[in-house]
Amino acid sequence: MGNDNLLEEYTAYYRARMQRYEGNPLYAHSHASEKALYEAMASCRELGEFKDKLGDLNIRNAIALVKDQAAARKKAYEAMKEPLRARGPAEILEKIDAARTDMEVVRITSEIEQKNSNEISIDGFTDVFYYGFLYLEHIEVYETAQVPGKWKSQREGYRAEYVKSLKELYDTVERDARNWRPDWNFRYETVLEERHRRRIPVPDEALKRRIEQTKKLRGK
Amino acid sequence: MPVDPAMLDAMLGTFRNMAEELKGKKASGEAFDRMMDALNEMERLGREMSDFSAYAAKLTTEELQMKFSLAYGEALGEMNRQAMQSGSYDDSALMKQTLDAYRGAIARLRESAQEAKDAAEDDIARHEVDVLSKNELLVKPIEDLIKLGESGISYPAFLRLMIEKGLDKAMQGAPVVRDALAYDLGWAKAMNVSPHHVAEKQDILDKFDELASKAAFSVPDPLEFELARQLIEHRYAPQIAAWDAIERRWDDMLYMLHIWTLAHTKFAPYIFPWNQHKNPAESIEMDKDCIPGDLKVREKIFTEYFNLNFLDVFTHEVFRTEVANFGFTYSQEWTEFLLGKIYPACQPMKHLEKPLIAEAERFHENKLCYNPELHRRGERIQKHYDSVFGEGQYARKHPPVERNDSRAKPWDLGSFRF
Repeated sequence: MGNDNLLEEYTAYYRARMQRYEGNPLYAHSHASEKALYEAMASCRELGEFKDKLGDLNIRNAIALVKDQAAARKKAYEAMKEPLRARGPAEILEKIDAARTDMEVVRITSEIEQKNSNEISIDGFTDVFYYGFLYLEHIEVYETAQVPGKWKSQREGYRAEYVKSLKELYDTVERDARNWRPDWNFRYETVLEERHRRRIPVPDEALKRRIEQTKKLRGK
Repeated sequence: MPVDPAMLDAMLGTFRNMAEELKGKKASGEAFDRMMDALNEMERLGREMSDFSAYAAKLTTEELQMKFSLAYGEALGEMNRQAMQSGSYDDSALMKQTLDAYRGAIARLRESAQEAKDAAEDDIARHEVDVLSKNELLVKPIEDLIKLGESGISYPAFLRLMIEKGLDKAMQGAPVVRDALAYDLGWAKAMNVSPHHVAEKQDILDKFDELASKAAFSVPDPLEFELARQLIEHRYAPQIAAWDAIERRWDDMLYMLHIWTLAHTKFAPYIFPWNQHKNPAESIEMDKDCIPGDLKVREKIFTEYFNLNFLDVFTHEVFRTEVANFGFTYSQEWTEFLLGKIYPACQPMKHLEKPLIAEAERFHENKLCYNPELHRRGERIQKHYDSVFGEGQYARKHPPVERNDSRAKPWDLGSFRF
């Protein structure tokens, strides 16, 4: 195939790459970047010129796609009020322009995504609080139910077992969480943050009462 | 003691294969060395640690899998650059490399499908893998691309046509994704845990179809769909949590009423749960004495959480769905007896009076306590399973769905007194 034909074919190829993003607001950066690549190719009088005109446009193209994806994710997580999940794409957007090679693009995004994934996993250990509700309710029943006196001692034993199980539950979770972050401690304040609070289907007053009950039973 | 070898193999198998692949290609250099360092460290930790959960956390927090993958990519990239600099690459070489990669992808898809079948524990599981594996839907678009590449066109024309004909999008496997979403919805309907579970799956499928209808080649943008799906799941999470919380607690309260009633009957020592206890007589006495007081506390908690009292539940969607779903344990007549006569009598420090005990005993002796249609839920699940995996397949896997021996009438919510 003659070089002229090949130049035409490569120009048509880069045009097709650009056109697939045309009018798509999700891929604004990618469209601009593909357009730059297409214009570089279209301006060549012969194929050999492209190597010089390419410069770092390929890397810029990879970065553009990363930015489009990160921007979309950041927007979605902010709309869901998931600040922790939004942190990853936000950091990618801050740092990705520094990439100079394709491997740097991969390294920067991978490192940030891994760090963010770890943060999300660690945040999930807070679920121990709602999981503990069933223990708290059993304990409340044993503490407050009106029953004949002859059963009180036996039921105090059951209550004590549930209290012990509740403490062991938190101890186990803290031990597992410290495999991920050595200084992790369960924090009651985290339960009140929107991403956790919305999955605990009780009113604020009931939640507050359970927090106080947990603090008293755990001793912290 | 080291981490269980089977779990270690599952964790590290892919990385070991990737390392062998590069060794086979005679890879070397700084990136390859870093890759092997990461793998060796994962292996060492697997020998020295015993707790798998701590081991998995360690691999993640030390970023060993990521370090391996990055170094692998760099090592491969370095090998490709060396090949290009040696002058051995041109368009036909690039075409060959591309088509070889696609042939390798087909081989890997078929290998994975075979591995899944080989790992299946019996013929039934292998049949399930066969039915669910949509491998050929994934393989066909790749084969179409390979044919295009082998047709003699130039490399840039191949790349352009891949985009213009949507062949790159076809490789994303949209039909397989849609099939999986429809499969999830089918099971959500068959299980019918709650209207929210079903609505969530329906919304996700509808969103996929909506995006497909607007997309080139009817293939939704994966990122757009991924985020839309997450938003739908996010929206339904609180409703599902509330449903589960209500259902679990009223179920417990009704069970307490049921057990308290049976504890008074003459056959209590011989029936579940007391026939499982070391000292049935003591357990029965404790239940008779304590359940009323316990139930009052449970009710107080229930009202505090949901602003519902116990009887309100029986007009609530949670109860009505459970009945319509053939998942409600008790018969209508027994439930009306529990709510109308037992519940008012269930007061702290009190026992049931003899006339009510006698009435409860008659219910039990005449087998009128339980829902006679509980089997219909199992039948619905069986029907759905067979619709997916083939007529008669459910029966190969599970014991038969059997009717219980209840002589009670089927539920008629229209005539329910509460």
